[in-house]
Amino acid sequence: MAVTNLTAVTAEQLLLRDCVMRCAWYLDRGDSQGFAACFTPDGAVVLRDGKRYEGTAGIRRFVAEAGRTPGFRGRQHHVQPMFVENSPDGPVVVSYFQVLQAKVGEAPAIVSMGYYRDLVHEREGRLLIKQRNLYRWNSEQAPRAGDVSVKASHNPMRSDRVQQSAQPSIADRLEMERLMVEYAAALDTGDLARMAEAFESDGELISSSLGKLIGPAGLRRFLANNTKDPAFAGRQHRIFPLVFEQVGEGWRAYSYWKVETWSLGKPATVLALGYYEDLFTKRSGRWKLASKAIRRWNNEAAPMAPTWPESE
Amino acid sequence: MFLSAPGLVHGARAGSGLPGVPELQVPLLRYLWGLDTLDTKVMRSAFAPGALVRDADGKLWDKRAGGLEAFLRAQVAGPRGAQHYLQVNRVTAKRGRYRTESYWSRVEWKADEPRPVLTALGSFIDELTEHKGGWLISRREIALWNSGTVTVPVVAEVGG
Repeated sequence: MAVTNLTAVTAEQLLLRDCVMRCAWYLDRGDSQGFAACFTPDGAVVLRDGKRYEGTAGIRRFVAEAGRTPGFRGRQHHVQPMFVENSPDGPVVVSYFQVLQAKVGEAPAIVSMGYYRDLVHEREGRLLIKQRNLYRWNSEQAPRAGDVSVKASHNPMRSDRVQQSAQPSIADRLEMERLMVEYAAALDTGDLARMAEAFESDGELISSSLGKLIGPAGLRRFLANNTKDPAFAGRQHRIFPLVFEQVGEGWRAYSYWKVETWSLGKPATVLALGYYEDLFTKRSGRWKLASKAIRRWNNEAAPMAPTWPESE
Repeated sequence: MFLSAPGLVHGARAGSGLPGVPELQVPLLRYLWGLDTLDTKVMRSAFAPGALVRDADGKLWDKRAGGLEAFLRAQVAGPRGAQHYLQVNRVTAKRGRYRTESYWSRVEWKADEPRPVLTALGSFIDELTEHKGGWLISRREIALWNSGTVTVPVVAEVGG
């Protein structure tokens, strides 16, 4: 499917969103090389106290230092791009983020939240972050009305030029992301037909508690196991697509997942954190899930980079 | 074709110049930014003229209730320090309009507390219409999402 079938605004929004979201996958795994590769070689990370980490070496040091802090393993950054500002230096993506932490035997906790301002540059056909500024968001430090300008980007960039060769086309990626949320919404509403529609007829769902489940019968067993829990109603599965890797003619995608729940009369809570490893294949011209592995993310199970933790 | 069901357009589909989810999200996210920065001007910019909102209590903010302006004023009475997160789960198209079904969640952080707290979950059903080359919300229904508002059928272990 050619990119030109989508509006330029859609393409621009997706490319900018991807540019700022995928960094989380590298940061949370302590992968300084992968994180630094999200930035231009002369890029910078600027913390809220003004401390700067500049250039590839500096940005790698930022991740290495973070990776040595207690409790680093088991954290996820959930990033939600909110809007794009036009600045004289290029587009600036303003995003919410929250940091969650999961430890074995404890309920996951939201440990911090704030927002990013990411100045994005195009370098050799790739969108990279030139500078990331971090800010905290709480009752004293959240921006007030008008503190940050909210202007739509009126000059969409040439998405055909910045389409990355090792990435799925924008149309394909949107379709695969659609299947990710279809799965989530189907699970939360106990909708077997909707879930089955997202999978190949022989698709696999790999669950930590039930093992490998195959085809519609397997999905039925998975849903039956979940929906028999009287506390199941009120849950929402949140998906944060992060990284796509080509596998033959298909794509493997990694995304964070989070389950939030709200039982009447109790506080809303974060129930669990994890990540999905999805394999998408295209048969008869349509993308489907060939397999979905549900993985936990906590201080023992998070898939850290081989280089983590990096020594000083 | 990328349609998985009639009318579904989440992402790409055949044809040219069609909006995908990232584009349709623009007004939905702009509204949330305005809500979280207590900025009625930004919130208003997400809505089409004459937009109708039904809130989580079932109240329809029509002309008799003061319209969109009264609804927006009611939203900025809350404290600073909240963020709302959004996930668009489904998009359907009908005669040039788009309907989105989304999750939202609200996280608050009081400066004297050590951590942010998740305070509510909910859903939006929005109708989006095109205005001057962009998309705006022409109708919104807000609901809470909890064990009292959502019923999940128990799926039988063996199909019939």
